[in-house]
Amino acid sequence: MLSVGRKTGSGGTPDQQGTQELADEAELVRRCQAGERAAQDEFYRRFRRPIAANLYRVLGQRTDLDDLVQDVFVIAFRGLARFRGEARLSTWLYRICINVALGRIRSKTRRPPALLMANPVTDAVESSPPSPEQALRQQQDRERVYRALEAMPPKKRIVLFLHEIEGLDLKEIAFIVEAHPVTVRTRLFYARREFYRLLTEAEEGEG
Amino acid sequence: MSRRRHIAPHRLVDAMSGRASEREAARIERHVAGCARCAGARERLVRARAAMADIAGQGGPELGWDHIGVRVYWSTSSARHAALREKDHAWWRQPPVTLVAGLGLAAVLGFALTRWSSPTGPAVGGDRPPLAATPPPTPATVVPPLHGVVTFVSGAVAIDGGAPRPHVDDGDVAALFGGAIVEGTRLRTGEGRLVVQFGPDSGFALAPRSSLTLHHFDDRTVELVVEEGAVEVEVSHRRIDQRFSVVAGRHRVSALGTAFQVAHRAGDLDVQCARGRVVVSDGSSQVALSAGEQLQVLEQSLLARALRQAIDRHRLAALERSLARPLLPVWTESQALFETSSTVGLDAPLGRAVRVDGVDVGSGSFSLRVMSGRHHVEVADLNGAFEGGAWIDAGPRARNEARAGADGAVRVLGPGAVEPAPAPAGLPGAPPPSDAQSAARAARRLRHGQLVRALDDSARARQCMTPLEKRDLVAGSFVLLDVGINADGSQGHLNVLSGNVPPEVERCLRAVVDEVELPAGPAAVVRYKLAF
Repeated sequence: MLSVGRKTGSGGTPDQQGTQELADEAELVRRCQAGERAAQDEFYRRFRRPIAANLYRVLGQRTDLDDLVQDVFVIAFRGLARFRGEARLSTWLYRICINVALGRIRSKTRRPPALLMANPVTDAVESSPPSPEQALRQQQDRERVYRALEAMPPKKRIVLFLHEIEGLDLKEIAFIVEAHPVTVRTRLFYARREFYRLLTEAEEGEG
Repeated sequence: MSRRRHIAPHRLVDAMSGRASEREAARIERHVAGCARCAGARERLVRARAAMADIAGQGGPELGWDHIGVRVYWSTSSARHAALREKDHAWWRQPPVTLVAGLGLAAVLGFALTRWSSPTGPAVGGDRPPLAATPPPTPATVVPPLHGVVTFVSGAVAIDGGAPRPHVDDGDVAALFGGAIVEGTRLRTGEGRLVVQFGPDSGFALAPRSSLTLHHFDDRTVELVVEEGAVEVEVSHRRIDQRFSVVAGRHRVSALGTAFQVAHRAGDLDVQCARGRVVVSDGSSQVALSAGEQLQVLEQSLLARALRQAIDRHRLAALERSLARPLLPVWTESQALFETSSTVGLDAPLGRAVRVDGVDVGSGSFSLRVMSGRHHVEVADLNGAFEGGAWIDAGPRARNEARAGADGAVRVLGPGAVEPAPAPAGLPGAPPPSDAQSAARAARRLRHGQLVRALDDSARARQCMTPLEKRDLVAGSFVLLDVGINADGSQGHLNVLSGNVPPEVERCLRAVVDEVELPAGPAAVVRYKLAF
């Protein structure tokens, strides 16, 4: 996961290791901005998995995931020249991820729904494998969550995802979605109401 | 109890997660204890919250990282190139520069007019020294050399600068195909053709009665000097720090990523651009040619006065056919290619078109490099129809021979002969089915089914069709593939036999199939039609 939100919030005090990481990031960015191919390779290798995981969690499916990862990196490399370090590199990349995912969600609303749903049970790393019944039930629960998310308008969906699933606070969400915290709070209020209503209604319908 | 008095689901979640006040939480708890509907809703929400926690902890799936990396690299390098070009174009828009440029232009015009009227001025198109081949840019680091490989030979050729001669025996052919083409090599053809590939989608074909030297041949600079004759070039898009040029006498033809032909005979230059864009220069002036344009410069005329003209469509079609050289799939290291490829020598009547795996590769007798695996060879009959054919099982580093009769029937000689042929029933040349083939047939069916399941409704494949989708040409499009599947599920070979989609779509679809991973099982060679 890109280190934003719960693990290393932008408001936290960085320790020595964090300072070293920041210095490494700054050096990596400087080398990338200078057009150093090896640095760009390192940048790609360092962030490719976290970016793919983020996109996967937001969208809940791996259809076109490689294209979306490509989009994130292309946007990142093109925008690195303008990166001034106001935020952590990982936070900045996370924002790009969310914007790319948002674009994908919006385009999906104009196209037929994807035929292939992810099978998170097989993709997730399980510490102790659950029984087949448990696994099926967990998978169904996750699918319900994504179905409810997909039924929501894109902006509300992203805000809700960042808050309720990724655990980010309003300030971090405001930075990522480039909106005022008050706007985010309002949007989140309506999003939560809609999302949990959809979750319970969908289950009632199924039951 | 009326619906209005039920607890809203998000308030249930607030109570569960400690976001509600104590008083509110107690009120909710009291209500849930006496309301089956809200109790059920809370239970479902508990499960949903657990699922959300699972989602938050999920890692991402493994993707084709190298493939994505290459695409990112190409996208960003192209963008950088476009930005630099934009910058190049924008300099004259600045007013002070325009003023200085205007003054400079006036001075140059004045000087030129003076020289023009002078009786001692140089004759138009007078003897000029040939354009000196430029030295490669001083490298900051060691630039890796390029290694070309011969992929096609017909007639008399030479790769050491000696007199062209036919290569008929095995030793001759092995020498031609077994060595890398490096900087400084001089290639010559008599009545023959020679094709060299030097990277993915990059290669050149030396026409009959031509000679060419690889003046520079490394990762940064490719400079082919045509002493006499014609060369057809297809080159993939160059990086911003790469230069590709063909030098013909006093002219230089530079390209970024394109397909073109340069003919240099008796001092006259003829450049035909089939795709992309090339720039012809003579050191003092430049002429840019776009796709479908031709430029002819006679020896005694100036480049600046030469006229560009459109290539007529018949000639353009012929040029495209001629440029469709047999290019191998992506490879990175010539030695690895030597280890995994083999040659097919075909003895066919003069002028008869030949197809390998459904692709036109040449005519008459020739030798061709193919990737190891099973290949279908067809030779046109007297009417130009491909009615028969034969399969060759080309092992690595092997030399395979086939002979075609006047009726187009192909007979494979030596160890590459496939008996019985693996073609599916109904394919020309397939022998009647026998009991011995039933296991192979079952394996083919199994593997075909697995491919269908893996690729049916593939979003990636649909994405490949985007260019056609925009023109509403998707319906009826197809690509027929020949896929060799090993026992461990990996793909041994993957050939496109036929199709009706543009080359870029075909390449995309092939890449999609190439990425399919199948489970271990029986080895089989299957034909898979990816149809839309």
